[in-house]
Amino acid sequence: MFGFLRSYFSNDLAIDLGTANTLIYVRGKGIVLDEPSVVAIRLEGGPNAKKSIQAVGKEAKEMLGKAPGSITVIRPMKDGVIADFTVTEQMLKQFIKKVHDSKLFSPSPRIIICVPSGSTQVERRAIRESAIGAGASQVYLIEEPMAAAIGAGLPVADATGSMVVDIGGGTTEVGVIALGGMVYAGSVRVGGDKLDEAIINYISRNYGMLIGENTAENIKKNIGSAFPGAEVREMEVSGINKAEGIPRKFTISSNEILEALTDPLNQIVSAVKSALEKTPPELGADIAEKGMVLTGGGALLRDLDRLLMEETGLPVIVADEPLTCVARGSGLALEKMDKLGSIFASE
Amino acid sequence: MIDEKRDLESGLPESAPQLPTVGSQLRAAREAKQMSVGDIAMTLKLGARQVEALENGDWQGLPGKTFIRGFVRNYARLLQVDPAPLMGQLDAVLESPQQRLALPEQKRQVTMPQTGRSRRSDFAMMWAGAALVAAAAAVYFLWPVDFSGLRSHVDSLVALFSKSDQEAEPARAPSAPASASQSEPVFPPGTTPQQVMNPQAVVPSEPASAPPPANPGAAQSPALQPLERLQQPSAPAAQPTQEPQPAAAADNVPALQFSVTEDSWIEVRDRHGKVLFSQLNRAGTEHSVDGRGPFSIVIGNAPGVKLALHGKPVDLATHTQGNVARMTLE
Repeated sequence: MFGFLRSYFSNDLAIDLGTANTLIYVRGKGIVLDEPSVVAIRLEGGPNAKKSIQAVGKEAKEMLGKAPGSITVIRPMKDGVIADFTVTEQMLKQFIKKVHDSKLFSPSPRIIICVPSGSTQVERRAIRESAIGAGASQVYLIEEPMAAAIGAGLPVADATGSMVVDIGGGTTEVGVIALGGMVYAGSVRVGGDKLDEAIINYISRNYGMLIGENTAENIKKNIGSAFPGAEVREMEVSGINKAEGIPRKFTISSNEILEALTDPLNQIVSAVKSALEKTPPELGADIAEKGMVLTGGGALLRDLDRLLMEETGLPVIVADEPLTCVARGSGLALEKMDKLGSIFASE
Repeated sequence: MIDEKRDLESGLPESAPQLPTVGSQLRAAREAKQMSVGDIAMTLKLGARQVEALENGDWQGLPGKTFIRGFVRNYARLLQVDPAPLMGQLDAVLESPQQRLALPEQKRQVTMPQTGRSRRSDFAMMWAGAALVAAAAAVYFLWPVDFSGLRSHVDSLVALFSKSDQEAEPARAPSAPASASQSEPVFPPGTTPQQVMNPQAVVPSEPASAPPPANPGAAQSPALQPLERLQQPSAPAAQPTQEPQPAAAADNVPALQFSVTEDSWIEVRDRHGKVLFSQLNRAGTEHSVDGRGPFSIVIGNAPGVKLALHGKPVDLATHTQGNVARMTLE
């Protein structure tokens, strides 16, 4: 009833609370925050050690793997859901404070927040509670494939099937959407993190070298690929030699990374295939005509679309700005929040 | 087949004279790589029809802006053409399909009636609540008015009752000797000439209304004598005044007379239940109570009290239970 008043005090927010990155979309402004979901916590000495937040976001991510004993760097989200409730709540609070202009009133926005379609009731409740704890007056949940499809510009409300594959940091979400609802939703807990992990393991196994998460992510971004391409690229990497215990440099090629990534990529492919198997034939025909859309950071992995095309025999396209699709989609839902209710997920 | 497409292509630049269209750029690149439409379709997993539609700019036959952009990007990447300028061109061409993507709103509005119904019931609840509040306010503000109105109504009813009683009593009077005494105070005993003068106006009604039945012989004379006296103003005043005195004396007697020989508590209520007399009386005192009967009397220490009603002693023993006498006397 007093919505017009509320808009003066607090902006409504759409949050893509991802395993790797958190994006915040403010109504009427667009995406205003895109930071890694990382929190650095300082432990003060003494018997009743007080914990205080040292940094969040980019700053905290730079500390990952480099912090001294007094600072713990935490990624509170794991596999798309909350692993550390308190830290997630604090992180959200910090992010909301960052995007909130008015200092006079403490922010109490309405929040749309994304949840993986495969998340359990308990996990959804945890996300909702943490958003309320961070100051939200109302919380709406939206399933990630739906948000991704809206953000990618798919005709979600039409009587035509659209397939979206959202490869995030922690999960890969496969959704078949028609008439404003999810016909099929599948979720596998494989994402960017698992790819990084696979690279770390591969290098440890084959080179006897230890590398950090950030290094693994850099390798993936620079020379990672999902499908054997014409050109082979190489990259110089530093790590610690396990046998000698001394930092060493070595060179790794894209073909090796491709080999390293085979296992997690196969899981993604099989998730997509099982989604296609379970899609009703009429919608399957639409998908065969249009193909599927890749969103999320994983879609930026070189030739992942080629891999899926070869594996499924269907056209695969990568959405524009795949990293922000989910946030933009939830933002679009936020703009039209008062008019639509059906796309929001219940607990 | 290629010849046919060449024919189509020659027709296309006319619509976009400055820049070659996206489709024609793609086709030129494909031909430079010496690839057929079939090769492209095979690699991109598209139908040959879709590839041709892309090259011909036949956007209607393709699934929508998002997909067209994706297809063109894939196509360009396959041919190692920079997709960025093509995307820019596509944006200019594909504005109308973008509007088609706005359909979700309409569809969602169609799904609204379900929630709309609940909203309507919410409104109904709101209205009901508002009506209740209004009703409560009305009662709060109007109640005192009603109440006072009610009270005045009751008062007028009571007045009407008492009036009708007054009117009814004189009619009853001849049969009920006690009631006569009540009507008597209305008519002053007329000990002085001026007071006796007044009854003149009342005279016509007086015989009908209440001749004191206590001593009918005397009653005739006080009623008639004033007339005589009016006719003979010089007549001695003493005589007529003496004559009605017994009646007047009888009239002057208070309704109730208590002579208390022992300490006793006495309470007297009149016909309306109004307390006329209520106190503890010391031995040796006398009290008289006047008013309109019937009186309800409670005497605490009945053996120590003597009661006279209109001068006649009342036997309290018949009304006494224990030590307390309760009675109703007319």
